[in-house]
Amino acid sequence: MDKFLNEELFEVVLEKAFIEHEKDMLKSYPADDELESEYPISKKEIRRFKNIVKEKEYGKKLIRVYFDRVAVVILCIISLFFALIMTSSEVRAAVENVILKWYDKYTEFVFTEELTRFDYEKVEDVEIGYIPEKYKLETDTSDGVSRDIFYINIDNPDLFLFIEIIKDSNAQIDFDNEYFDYEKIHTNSLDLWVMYDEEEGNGGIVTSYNSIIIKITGYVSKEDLIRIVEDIK
Amino acid sequence: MLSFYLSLVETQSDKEKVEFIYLNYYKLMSYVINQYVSNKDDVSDLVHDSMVKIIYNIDKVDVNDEFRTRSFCTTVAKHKAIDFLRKKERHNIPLDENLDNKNYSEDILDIVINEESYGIILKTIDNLSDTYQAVCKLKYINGLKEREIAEVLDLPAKTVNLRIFRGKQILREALIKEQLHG
Repeated sequence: MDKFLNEELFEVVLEKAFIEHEKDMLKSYPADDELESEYPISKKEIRRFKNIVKEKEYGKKLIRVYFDRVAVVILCIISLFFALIMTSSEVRAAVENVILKWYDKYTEFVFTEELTRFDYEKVEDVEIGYIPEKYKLETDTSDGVSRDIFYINIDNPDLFLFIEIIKDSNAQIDFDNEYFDYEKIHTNSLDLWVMYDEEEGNGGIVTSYNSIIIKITGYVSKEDLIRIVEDIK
Repeated sequence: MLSFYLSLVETQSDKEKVEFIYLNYYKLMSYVINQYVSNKDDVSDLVHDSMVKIIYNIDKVDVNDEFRTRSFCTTVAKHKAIDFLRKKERHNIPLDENLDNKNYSEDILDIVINEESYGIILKTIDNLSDTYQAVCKLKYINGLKEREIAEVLDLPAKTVNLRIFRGKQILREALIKEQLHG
């Protein structure tokens, strides 16, 4: 006969034999009544044991049931309290402030990698070659992406000249054309977009050098605006 | 003590199992251990050890099967008692676990399948050392694997394996001997 089958059948026989032998052995042990006198477990001990089991389970059920209820009540109280304090305009403003701060902090994206991926010219390297007379430098600030140069007229501080140098070829430049005439000029291989109000004597000009965008606005003549652009290095 | 037993298990079903075993088999385990150990304090300690061992292996117990649960409890209790005696007397019960590789399986079925031979198996089991009986009972009656038996009896799995093999070998030898001389 197959050796494997032989072994399997022997195992079955052994199982049956061990069970039968065990049954005989267990029968040979004294009955519980007889054992009771020799190895007694007092009724008090049994009661205590049962109580421990019940108490533990009852305690758990109690905690489960009341925990749910208590949690709901606490949530309702917190909600009501919050609704009550939100009736105050100061609190509403404070909450709004917190939300806005949070929004600014966690939803702002700075695409520094995008900007440094290309070989841009530096905005700091741009040199202004010509500035009309009586205009003096007031501020020159740069954040690496854009540079703002601000000039004011020494005779009349209300007259200014503002030069923006932006290092972003995709930057969008807006101009209000309601009060300005718009024209495109080509000079020194540059395209210039000029918006100028002849009556007021102010306007602006926009051009670009590769990836650098330059926007100039101020109270100077159109010729001066064009010359400023032409002399930029 | 009772609180201690219950603290060892997590679920309510396990607590109920512990309760059932304690109330139904505590006395029987005391009796079984008392067959080997006479000192009452030692009996009490060994029953406690047996209870703890059973509780740690409570997942292997199905209290709905009274016969197997009773067998499991008495086997564990008996093993604890024998183990205690062995340690106390510093006497190693000879196990003869150096196995030879005789192949007894070829004609064993022809010998086994008759009533007389089955009686010989029962008789041999009865005479089988408690050391082998414990592992074989847990395997054949409670259906435990070698690894599980090792956990219950605090033995290395390899030792369990050897004892089962040796136990079966003794039964084969007895059958063949009876066939040859009977």
